[in-house]
Amino acid sequence: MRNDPLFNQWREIGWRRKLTAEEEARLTEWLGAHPEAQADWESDAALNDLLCALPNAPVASNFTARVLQAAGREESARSREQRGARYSIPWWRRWVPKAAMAAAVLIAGLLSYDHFQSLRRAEWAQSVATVSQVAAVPSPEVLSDYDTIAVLSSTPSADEELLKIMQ
Amino acid sequence: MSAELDPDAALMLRVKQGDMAAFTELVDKYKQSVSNLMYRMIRDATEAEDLAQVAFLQVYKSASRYEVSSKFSTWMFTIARNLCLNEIRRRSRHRADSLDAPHPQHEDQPLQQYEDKKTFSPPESLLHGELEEKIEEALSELPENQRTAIVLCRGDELSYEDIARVLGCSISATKSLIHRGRETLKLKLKPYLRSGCWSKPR
Repeated sequence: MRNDPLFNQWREIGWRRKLTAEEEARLTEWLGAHPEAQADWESDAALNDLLCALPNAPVASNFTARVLQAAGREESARSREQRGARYSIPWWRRWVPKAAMAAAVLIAGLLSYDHFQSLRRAEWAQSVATVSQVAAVPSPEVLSDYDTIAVLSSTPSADEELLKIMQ
Repeated sequence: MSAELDPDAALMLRVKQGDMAAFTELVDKYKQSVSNLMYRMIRDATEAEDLAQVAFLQVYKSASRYEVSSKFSTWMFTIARNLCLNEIRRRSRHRADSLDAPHPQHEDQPLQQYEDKKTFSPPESLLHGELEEKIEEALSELPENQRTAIVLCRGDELSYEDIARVLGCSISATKSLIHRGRETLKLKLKPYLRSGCWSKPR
């Protein structure tokens, strides 16, 4: 009978609550067809009655009040902890580290800027040196042949008399 | 899991926002069932009440992290059970034999087995307190998981699915635990069951 799903279903309901009138009627009908399950059901029902008859554990009348009191103490302790963390140290111990950090950042920034400017000046100097080498003024000896070169480089003009004879 | 389906989860979301009235409502609703579970797990009324308060305080402290992923009752009883397990382990470290130590060959049975009582018919004048004591004693001798499953199953608050979540096992395993625990109880309480009214189904 313990393996019968229908019987087990009623047993499991009975473990938690009393059967309804309809459930009892259906169980009675089923037990009528399965009398071998009667003893099992009766012992189960008897145990259900015993367990249901067990008294509740004692609970003090001020149980809720004590819980709320403990919750209130917990809340106060939490707030105190948060306030204490913020205000327990002197103001100068809070601000000096921050000021030191700010100063360190500022100095690092200035040093970086100065280094950057030095690099730029070096680059400019290098550029000027390069340009001065490339754009050097030619020597006077070169200029002495200037007229000759200028004449040679010019294109000769057309012979107009020869052109008239040919025409 | 929607907060609309579980009103207790909706209350817990209000607690998350700092609503103490919602927290009060939850405490009032669950203090009895949580205390019942803890009392049956650790068998000390005073300790159980203290632990129950700790359980609710833990719920309050965890409110900011609460997410609606399961029913509030499942979460609540899981916290309660874990606190009890810690207490049981703490006690077992100071004892020679743990009451919850499983049998080396049959894990679902306790180490200490009590022989079945010979049949006898208790007198009609058997005090109700004595019967109660016998039931409590038989319950306390069960392995923790069986005991917890039976206690959680006692009321209609948790479904088998919820109980399975609290125990951290499947629904079928949960029902198996309940069944085995109840069979052990029937065996130990046989003389007392005999005197019950079981002429017809409930």
